Amino acid sequence: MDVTFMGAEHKLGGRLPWRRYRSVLAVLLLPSLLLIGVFSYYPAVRSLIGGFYQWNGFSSPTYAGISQFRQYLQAPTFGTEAKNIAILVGGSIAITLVSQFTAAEIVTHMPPRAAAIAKYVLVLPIVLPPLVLIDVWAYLLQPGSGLVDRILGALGLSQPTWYADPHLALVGILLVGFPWISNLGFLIFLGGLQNLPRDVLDAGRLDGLSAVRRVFAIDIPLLMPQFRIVVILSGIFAVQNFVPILLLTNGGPGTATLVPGLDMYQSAFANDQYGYGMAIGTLLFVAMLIFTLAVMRALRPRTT
Amino acid sequence: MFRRTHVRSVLTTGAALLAAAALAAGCSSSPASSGGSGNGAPVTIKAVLPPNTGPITAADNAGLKQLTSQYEAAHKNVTVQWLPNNTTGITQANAAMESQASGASAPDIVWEQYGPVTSGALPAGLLQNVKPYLEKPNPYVPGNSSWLSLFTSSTVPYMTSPNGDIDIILGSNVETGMFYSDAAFAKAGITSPPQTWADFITDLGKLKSAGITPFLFTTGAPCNPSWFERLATSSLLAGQVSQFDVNHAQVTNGLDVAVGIQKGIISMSNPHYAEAWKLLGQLASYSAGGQSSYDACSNPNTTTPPLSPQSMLVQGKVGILWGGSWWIPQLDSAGFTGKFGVFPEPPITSATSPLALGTSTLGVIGGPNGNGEWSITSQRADNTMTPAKTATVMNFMAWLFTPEHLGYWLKISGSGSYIPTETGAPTVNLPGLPSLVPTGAVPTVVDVVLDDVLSTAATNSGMRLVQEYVNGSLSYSAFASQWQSLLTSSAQAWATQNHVDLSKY
Repeated sequence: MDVTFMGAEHKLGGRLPWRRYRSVLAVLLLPSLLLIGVFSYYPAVRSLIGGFYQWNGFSSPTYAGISQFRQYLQAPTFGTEAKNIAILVGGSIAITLVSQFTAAEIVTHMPPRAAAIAKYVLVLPIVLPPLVLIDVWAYLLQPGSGLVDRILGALGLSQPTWYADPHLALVGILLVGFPWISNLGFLIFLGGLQNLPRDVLDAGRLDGLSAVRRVFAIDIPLLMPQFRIVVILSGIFAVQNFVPILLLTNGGPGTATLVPGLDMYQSAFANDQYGYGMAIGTLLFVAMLIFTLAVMRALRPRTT
Repeated sequence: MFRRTHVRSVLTTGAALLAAAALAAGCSSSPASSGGSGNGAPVTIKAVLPPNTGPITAADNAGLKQLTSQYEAAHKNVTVQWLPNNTTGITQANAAMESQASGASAPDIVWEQYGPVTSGALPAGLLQNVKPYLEKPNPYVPGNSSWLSLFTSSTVPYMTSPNGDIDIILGSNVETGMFYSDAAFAKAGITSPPQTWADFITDLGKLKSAGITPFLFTTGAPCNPSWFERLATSSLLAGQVSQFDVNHAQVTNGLDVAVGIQKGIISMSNPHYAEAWKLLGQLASYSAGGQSSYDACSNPNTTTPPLSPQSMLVQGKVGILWGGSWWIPQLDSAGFTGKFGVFPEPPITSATSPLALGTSTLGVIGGPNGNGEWSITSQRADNTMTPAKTATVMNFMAWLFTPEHLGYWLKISGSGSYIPTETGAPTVNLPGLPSLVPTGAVPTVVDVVLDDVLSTAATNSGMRLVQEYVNGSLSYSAFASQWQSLLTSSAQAWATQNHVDLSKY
């Protein structure tokens, strides 16, 4: 591949003078840079600045200093939101790691033909639009008439009200996507497991390691880079993905499922407090940056 | 400046439409003056349809579509582009509209409700004052002195802002009531609908004793909570409303409420006001669980929460639900015809509380919040809205708001459940509806928090507190403390946003 790549570069460079070749590359790159700048970096930078202004989305903004940042940190709902998002991030990471890593381990050690079929079956649901998934769970956990409550009722058990029960609503949110396998993390783990060094695995086999012991002694330590990326992505996704909460509970009942992302969205787009929403967004960005750095440090590969 | 034309009076809807078509044809052959109809530069009017009615081609909008086609045929330069309205409520609709307005690209005609428009909750300068157009005759109605004179006298105060401007046109009324299952009442031995709030609570107890879940107070959206707030505060504060009703209108607005809070009348330390929320606690004790998964205003076909509670009544899972007049055709189409009844919210009398005044609350919750509530955006919110285009838009609105046309398209849109706001508009005699419509004077309506009066943020925060109070997560004392904080902070925020010095009152 390197030879082909080098060959292609040489061929192009051979036709065009180097300086002109670089200009062509720059021109080709420009549209992408412009689009990313306009649609990704500008809103982010605008949001960082906007947090310092009070703005209802229509009238002229007025400078507010750090008052909106302080207002959010002192808001009566801040503690609840922090607790809820911690539960969701922790829960999401735990179920992602357990379910997707376990599925990848099983598929890796299945007979090749069965593994190929299992891989397709487990990956295919990724194409399901998230809104459909949310709608399905809205039906499954409908109070009284949903499938889960009907089954519980048929078994003579009590029928929870799920999304309307302050003690169960977060659980209901975490249940969306059960069994949580069909996701990018599964593919990352699968790729990692399939590329583990053969000699290490063979050595383990010769030493008589059981399957469970191999997972903990060889697979997990060698897959630490994969674990790191999956933990970071799962954490960020859990913070960003407030859509199921918006559609299923709207943060309720009360504040039982209220999270910073939803508060940010509602402050800006429902309450006309765009500046306040941007302040929440900035604080979320800082929190996620700290989370990412902490995970990077905690799960860094260790060589002895 | 509208062009005057003449239409023959007609007796039936069909004849009215034929005459209207003839009139529209006449318009095209005789161009209007600055009203913007007739010949001229091409104009495209972007208008938002009533909520949850689907696209303009949907059956609900057949009447509007037909009238629009006739208008376009008569005004060759005008095209009306109807935009579907899939929002779940006015809060969401306004959020979307304000986002568009910030880029000066809001639609020309937007769906609104009088609450946020006249209360001061919306940013100033978003909507146009259309009073100058309403004070002139409607060009499509022969012999009227002013378009405003076509509206019933009770409607105009709802359209009027505290400064006298009219930023919204209201097309129809809806009413609310308690819908009950005949079978549930029969099983509980209830032979007639309750006449007082005390009777109502007694009947809920009878239903419970008969093994029936008595009631479901839905808190998934503000409908039931805001209705309760109106009912209870309008009744219990009836003797004190004059002390903070600065605006002297039918419905309290942001200024009235902020003054009431400033004076400590709208306060949890005022026994009359606090009593309203104690009554909610009593009512909630009879409610089925899962309240926040349901909303009385949800479309019956909705599959994601908040769901419509109607199926619970139809399936016999609950005895009474609090719904709106638009439920009558919906329950009929669900095959529940003849199996349900409806009664108006009973008055709160001294049998319930020594603080109650027994004020009739018929019509307090309902009002001109049916289909046909529209505002016209300003040029700042919609850069296409030049004065000339505004004139054209208002000419089109005048066409839709002749009494005959209004009655015609409302009859199709709401299956008869919407009561036109204009005198002489054809109406439908829907069984059950007359009992919900007020026949006498309606007391001053006291709207406080849950109807976007002070701000949407206050409504959203208030809704969270009500959800927790109704599902039992918050005790009365905890609710009272947090509610009082909300009242105080929201009044201050309103005063700041609207540059009002509350100490003057």
